Amino acid sequence: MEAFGKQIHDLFEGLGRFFVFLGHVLRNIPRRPYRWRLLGEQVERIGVRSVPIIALSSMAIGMIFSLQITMLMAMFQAETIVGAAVGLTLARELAPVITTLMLIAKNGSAMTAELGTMRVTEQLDAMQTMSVDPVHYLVTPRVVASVITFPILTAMANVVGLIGSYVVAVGMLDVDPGGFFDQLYWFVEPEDVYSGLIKAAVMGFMMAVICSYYGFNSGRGAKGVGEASTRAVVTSSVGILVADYIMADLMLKLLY
Amino acid sequence: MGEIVRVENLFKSFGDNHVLQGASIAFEEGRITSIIGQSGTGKSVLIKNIIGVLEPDDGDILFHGKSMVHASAEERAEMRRRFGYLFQDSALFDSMTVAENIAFPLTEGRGEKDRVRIRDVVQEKLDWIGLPDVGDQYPAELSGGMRKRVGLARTLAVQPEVLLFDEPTTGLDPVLAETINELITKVNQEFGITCILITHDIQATFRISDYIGFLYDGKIQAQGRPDELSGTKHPVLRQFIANSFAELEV
Ligand SMILES: Nc1ncnc2c1ncn2[C@@H]1O[C@H](COP(=O)(O)OP(=O)(O)O)[C@@H](O)[C@H]1O
Ligand SMILES: [Mg+2]
Repeated sequence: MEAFGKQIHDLFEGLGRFFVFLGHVLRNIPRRPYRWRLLGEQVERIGVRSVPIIALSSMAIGMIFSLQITMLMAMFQAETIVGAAVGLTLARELAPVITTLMLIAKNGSAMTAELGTMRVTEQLDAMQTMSVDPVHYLVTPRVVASVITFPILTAMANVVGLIGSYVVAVGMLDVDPGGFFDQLYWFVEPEDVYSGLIKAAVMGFMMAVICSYYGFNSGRGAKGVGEASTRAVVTSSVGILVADYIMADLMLKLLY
Repeated sequence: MGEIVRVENLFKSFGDNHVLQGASIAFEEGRITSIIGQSGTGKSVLIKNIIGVLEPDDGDILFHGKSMVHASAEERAEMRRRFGYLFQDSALFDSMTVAENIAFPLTEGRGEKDRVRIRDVVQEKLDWIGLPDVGDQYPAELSGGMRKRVGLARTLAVQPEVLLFDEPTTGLDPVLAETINELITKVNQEFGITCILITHDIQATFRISDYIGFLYDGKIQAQGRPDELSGTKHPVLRQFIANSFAELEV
């Protein structure tokens, strides 16, 4: 019972610390000086260098989905619906979620490990003693870069996923190409695409803040940094899926 | 010369770990003052409170007679700019070159934009620490002793009034340790910078310090000039000094 009480206490203490950190990050985003070079570096790391992996995974998802749906719809002689089905699910859910999960694995864990190592080797403290706020110097470029790059990568995932879907449906399973596009245009509205991009921006923000938070609060030694990375990946993945549901619910009510 | 920094009745705990319990000591301007004590007694915690990496639970730290603990955030930042701190493991930014490390407090801390001036300061500091050619290397390519010296160059880039050293010679071989001790004396004499040193290297401390405080059980239990302390009546300190000199003869 006592242990349980302590767990609850630790949970709220952790949450409290997280929100203090979040407030600190938000206050620092508009603060000068703007460090464009650091922002550029992060955009390159999170955005540019993620193009291959996002293209590959969204292509695969588009192809797999296309295969399954075409098979299913063939039973009703409605194969052409595949364009709309894949387009809609990609735009609303799959593209932002796949992009985010891939980027958590690729960049989020690295963010925690990098900042955690800096915490452990006192580089963050050193920065502070030189009157440079480590949140401003290190976290804001990562957060801003994530908010910028996530929607762009998501948009790309939409396009590449559709190409994958087209290749499988039209190229391999002989779905009528005209029907594929007719259905796609008919069913997929701009709102579907926007809602996915907005979600991606929110998820990018969440990933950068959560993974930076765990890095800044990393335990001592290599073990501490490793544990922090694991927890950052788990927490941000779960957090993002929960947020996705809430956003989906809100957007279905507000946009449609 | 008067006192420049005063620590008054400082308390700091981490949960149930009561590290500092009323530590008090004054630091004279332009002098080398050392805090000695066993590993884990809170020497690092004490100086992290002075430079503001940690916040004290109670007590005060005065800089030129003004409270740092109760100052506004801007005043405090202004005071902190006049401190430099050499971390135990140098804490160099490993994603930056040595030159970028040394330039960092100037470019990022002070917003200096003049590239020529920055390059000159960096080269001047590199020459001063006796490593004129390492500017383009990364910290990982340097030895521990070189990293210490680069760390010192980085703190000197903004000409601090007070320099704090956390175990500057721990983990170095005796020859390197000696070079670092010489550099500390040189910093003190050439630039008149007040040096605050924490260490458990007793022999070197007695040689280079003007004043020594002994931290034990959360308090400064004894303090004085080296010649005063070597004849101390404090039993733990006597034991501590005796042990460290005994180690030498083994
Ligand atoms: N940031 C911190 N959080 C929790 N405990 C700390 C922290 N820094 C130091 N301590 C604890 O304070 C005590 C004193 O540590 P320290 O000042 O590093 O000792 P030393 O005299 O060897 O420099 C140790 O028990 C250490 O575990
Ligand atoms: Mg220490």
